[in-house]
Amino acid sequence: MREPALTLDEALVSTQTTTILLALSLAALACSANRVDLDAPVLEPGNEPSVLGLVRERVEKLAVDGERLFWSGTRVPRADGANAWFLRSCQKRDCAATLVTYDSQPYDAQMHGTGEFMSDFFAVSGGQIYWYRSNSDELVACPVTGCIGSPRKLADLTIGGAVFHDDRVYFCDQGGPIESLSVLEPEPRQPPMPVTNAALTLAVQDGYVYWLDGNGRSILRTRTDGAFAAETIANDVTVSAFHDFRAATDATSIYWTNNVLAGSIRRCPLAGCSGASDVVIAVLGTPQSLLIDGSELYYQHEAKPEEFSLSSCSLPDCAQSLPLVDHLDAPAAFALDDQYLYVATGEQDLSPADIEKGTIARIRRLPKPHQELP
Amino acid sequence: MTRRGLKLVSLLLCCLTGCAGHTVDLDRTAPASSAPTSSDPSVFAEEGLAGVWVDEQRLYWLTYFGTFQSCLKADCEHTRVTYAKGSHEQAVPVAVANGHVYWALDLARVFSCPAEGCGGEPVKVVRDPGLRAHIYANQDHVYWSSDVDIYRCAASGCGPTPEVVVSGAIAGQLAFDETHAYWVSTGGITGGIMRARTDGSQPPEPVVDWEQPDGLRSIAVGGGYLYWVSGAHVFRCPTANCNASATTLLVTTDGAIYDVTALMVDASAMYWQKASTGYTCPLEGCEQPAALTPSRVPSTPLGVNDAASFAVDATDVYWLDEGDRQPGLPPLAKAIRKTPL
Repeated sequence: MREPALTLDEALVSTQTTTILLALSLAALACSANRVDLDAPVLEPGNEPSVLGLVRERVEKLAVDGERLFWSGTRVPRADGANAWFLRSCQKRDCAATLVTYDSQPYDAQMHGTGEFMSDFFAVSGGQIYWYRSNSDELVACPVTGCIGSPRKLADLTIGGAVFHDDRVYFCDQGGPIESLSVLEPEPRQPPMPVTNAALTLAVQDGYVYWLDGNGRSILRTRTDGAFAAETIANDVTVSAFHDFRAATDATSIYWTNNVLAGSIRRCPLAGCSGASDVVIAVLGTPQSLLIDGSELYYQHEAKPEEFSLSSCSLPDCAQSLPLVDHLDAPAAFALDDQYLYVATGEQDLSPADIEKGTIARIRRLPKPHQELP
Repeated sequence: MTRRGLKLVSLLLCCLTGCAGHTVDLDRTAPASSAPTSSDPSVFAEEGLAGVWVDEQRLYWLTYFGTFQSCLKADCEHTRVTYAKGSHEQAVPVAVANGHVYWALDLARVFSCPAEGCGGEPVKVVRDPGLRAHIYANQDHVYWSSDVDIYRCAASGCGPTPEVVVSGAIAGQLAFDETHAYWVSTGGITGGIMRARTDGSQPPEPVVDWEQPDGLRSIAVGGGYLYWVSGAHVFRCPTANCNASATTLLVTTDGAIYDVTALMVDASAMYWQKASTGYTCPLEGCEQPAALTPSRVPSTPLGVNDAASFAVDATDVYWLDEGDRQPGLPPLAKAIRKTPL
């Protein structure tokens, strides 16, 4: 049985239980090939007002809820020569002293960024965090305050792409049908939707699930109850298999990243484009991630080779502007709550030489642009 | 060849040769049966040479381990410049044009440097993980086919985005004239040979529709003509109206030229490699191809860019000499030799 890695981190911040928990975790470390080296402190207080914490790993994806900040991170290489993936959180108000680690897994760095590594799928809802373990093909969950024992296994799955909506996970394997699963209570596996050759599940909006077709050029949708056949939403999508491809929806449209070197952000009405897709931002360096916050579109891109930047614009016109943040740690290393923009930044670039070094990410909290703070 | 295939080949070669360059005893090379011969003077000697290029001033070479160097032809011994050092696990695509050299590491990161050297501080031109194993140089730009588009960047660097030569096209091989890029289409756009303006200012257009079972092996452009290899034949058509013109069969060789590394043309002749021999024929009135090298050039460049085993300037042919082939081992050249044309 796997020991929860988070107990060690709690031990590091809790003097009363340090000895017992550390001993338990070290015993587990010795017994499991999947355990990671947690010797070094992972999280330190920031040295600037905007820095919530310094993390000794590359932050791959950030998310927030009302109380906590969540991230998946990677450390390359691990002390014992392997690479490790982590899922962690901390409280926004005192991040460095409230670290929780939910999971740690070895992973193949060569697969990362090629679409074959899916461990950055996690979602937070109703006081629970849900994530996919690509190493063991499991969907698991823990309370956001920390796992008590091993994470709770919800299902054995093979996921190539997934989205979380209304306590259901909509997922597909590469080139397969789309399925969904409730995370709240056990239920029989639902029959797959009448969909073939789905490459990546993108979004769920207004009773429809949207996905990228396996041809790499089309976005389609169908009803989440599988009642209707697939409809084509866009057929001029440009996708590189070597970068992340993401989409987001608002009440009227679906937006996506044409993630090639000379890329763009495009959109179509939720019901589909009648012709070519609408160009939201033209000629953008390798956009890979985007979020919509009210009428603001936040999008990541490469303003310089090997340097991730974050910009924003106001919809629907979306005038291109200078980056809000440079040196983003990874394309999805940003998140939003009602008041703030959270980002993880690093000084290292994407070169193999730097990736192989120990990395330090700064998790920052910044005021949102175009918003008055209380 | 896949990226993993290239890596395996490179690793195999490392294992076979010890991943190090060694000067060889040239006295041990056996004489060839026909002129030119292996007694032609050696310009440069190193284990594992994979490709050779030449321009008016310099001679360039690449090893299987990724060492990329040049020297002045007039004094190679004392003028050597190193652009990239070896020990790479993957093939290192390189290209040379107009006083600039380019190379790609990790099949993703493209660098440039003036031909005379840059003191170990090359320009980081672009990073493209989708780079499809080859780069090409033309005038002051480097070109490559990504996994979706064909791009170019100036030798001085890319800026935020590369210039798009063609969207939605994948090139098997690229060639150039003054205004256009030509490529063998391998996907995205209908098959055959396509072309577009090098600055991407006009949509691509088909140049040659080629549905022959032997397919297209290699293309070259020069003197207003487009040349291509298919099976045992070399064809050409005028670039100005290729699709409206009848293609001209220039030469038929004795057996398919399946292992042509790169068809090359200059003002008066075309050049190609078949098996372990380089050949040439005049552009006009080619009746019988002539051997340009002895049968000692590496027959397969093992997927290292479009690296040619020989190169021609106005007066000489420079060729890789693999020496006496060792049974069971892949061809590995040990010297660059020079033979007057």
